[in-house]
Amino acid sequence: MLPLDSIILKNGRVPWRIIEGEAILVKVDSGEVIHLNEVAAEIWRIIDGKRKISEIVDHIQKDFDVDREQAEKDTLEFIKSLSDINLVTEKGK
Amino acid sequence: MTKPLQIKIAGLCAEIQAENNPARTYLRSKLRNFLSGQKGIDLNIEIDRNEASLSNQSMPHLSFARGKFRILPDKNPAVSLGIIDPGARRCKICDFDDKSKLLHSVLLCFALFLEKSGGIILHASAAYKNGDGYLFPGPANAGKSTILKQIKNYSPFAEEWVAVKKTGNDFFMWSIPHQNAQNKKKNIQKIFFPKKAKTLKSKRLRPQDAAKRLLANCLFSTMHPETVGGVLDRVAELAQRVSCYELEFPLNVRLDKEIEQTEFLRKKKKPQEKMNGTEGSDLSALHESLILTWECNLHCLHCRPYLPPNGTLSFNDVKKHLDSLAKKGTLFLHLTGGEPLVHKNFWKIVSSASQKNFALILHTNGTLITPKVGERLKHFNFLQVSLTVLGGNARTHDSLTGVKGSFEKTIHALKIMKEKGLDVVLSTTKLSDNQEEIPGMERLAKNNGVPLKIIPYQTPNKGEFKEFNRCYQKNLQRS
Repeated sequence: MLPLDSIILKNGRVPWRIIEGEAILVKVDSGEVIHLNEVAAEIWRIIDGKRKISEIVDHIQKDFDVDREQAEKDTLEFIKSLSDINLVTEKGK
Repeated sequence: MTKPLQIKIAGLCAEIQAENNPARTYLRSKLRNFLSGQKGIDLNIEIDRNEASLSNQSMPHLSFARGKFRILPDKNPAVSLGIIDPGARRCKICDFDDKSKLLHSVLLCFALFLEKSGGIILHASAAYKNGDGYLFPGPANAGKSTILKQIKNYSPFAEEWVAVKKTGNDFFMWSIPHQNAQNKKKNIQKIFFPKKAKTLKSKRLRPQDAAKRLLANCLFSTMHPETVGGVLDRVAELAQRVSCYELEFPLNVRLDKEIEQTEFLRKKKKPQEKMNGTEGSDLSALHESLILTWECNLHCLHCRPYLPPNGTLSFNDVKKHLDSLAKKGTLFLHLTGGEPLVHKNFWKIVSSASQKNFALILHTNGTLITPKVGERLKHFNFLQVSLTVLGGNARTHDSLTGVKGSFEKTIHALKIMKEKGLDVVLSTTKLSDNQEEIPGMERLAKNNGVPLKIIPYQTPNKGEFKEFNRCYQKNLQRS
């Protein structure tokens, strides 16, 4: 699992759009289209190469009906799944 | 003479007399649980002493006149089986000998009451998990009940009818009074329209399509034109706020994962203000084309004579279009022409589009593609490059493009882009002059390991062309 103070960067080869609150991502290399639900889309939207993961968790906790522990767990799990399929990388790694 | 039986759906004030009539006893048992959990609902249903019997399979239905609804048998509108006064929240119905007909009449009363207080009744089954509700609307035999058996981690909520009402910003579902199910309201998270099929498949529905389907399964929509207006608004809002899907499913397959997908948190508020320019977007604008210029370095017989003069967008105009398309929610942007690569600001445009996160598709004749151009296309994340061919060999292709050597250049471009790892397709326009070339072009595509897209096109005759050109020029001036 990534540390909470790490900063995450989007893969620049992934065009995306938020439509009706949900996100559609395209992996150009494989042509694969990925659909993210509302919460995942919000996390994806605010990954900007500047915010730490802990700040993303703050944002999610503020915006969604969830306690800190759950927001942290879900955000870390989701960012890991993005990282596993090369949609994000950790800054400086 | 005994008093009529009174059913008051009002919190703890339920008084249902025990009777020998099996229909009434059944109703009483069904209502007991519901009533004990309800507060603040105030609807009186009186069941008349007069017993009515309806023949065959006909079910009671409603007619509307002078602010009141009458319950009528299907085939004999002269006989009234009851009256519902939504204004006074009072209903009086006959005592049917058939329990299903009595229950249906109660359902009609409840539906009217709910309609008056801002709700709707859907022909749907429903399930819940941790306070979250999932709706499965559909006509008979769509798989409403079957689906409940195939989701093990969710508790069944209702099998036939579900009441839906908005409270605050959320939509909630309840069971219907006389149905033997949970009566605590659940927050509706998703709506699935079930369809029995051989393979498992789900797809997200656009709100406007989902609204139509909801309406088709709404108790009132087909029955009472007078109430459709209010119901229509609620259905439209429900489809807008709740994610709706079509779920095709085979029998005996667990569907929990399909229902759950990846949703794990509930939104406190709509993120409209944070969409960064994508508000109002919907899936209808997902693919859009941008004609950068009408200019072209080839002279194709089917195209060249029809191109308007001076048809090139300035970089500033393109930027405005890009902003507007990004706002609309366009993701797949087709850059086309004329020949888009002859636009003097082509790379500036591509860079700008790339920064705005479009997935780019280039439609080109390929004659201007060099290894350096191929490299830059790769750099800018082009999702696909579509190369136009008009014939299966140089002779036919060049005769239609009007430029000798164009076939060779296009095929050279294909090879460059394949080497760079770009996704390439060959695309052709079916003309009266190249119909016999289709097998040759199919072979060409196959030999180069790429697909061939055929665009059907009827070459206009001279008269049609004149009319087309006149309309086009008029529109151009207007815009």
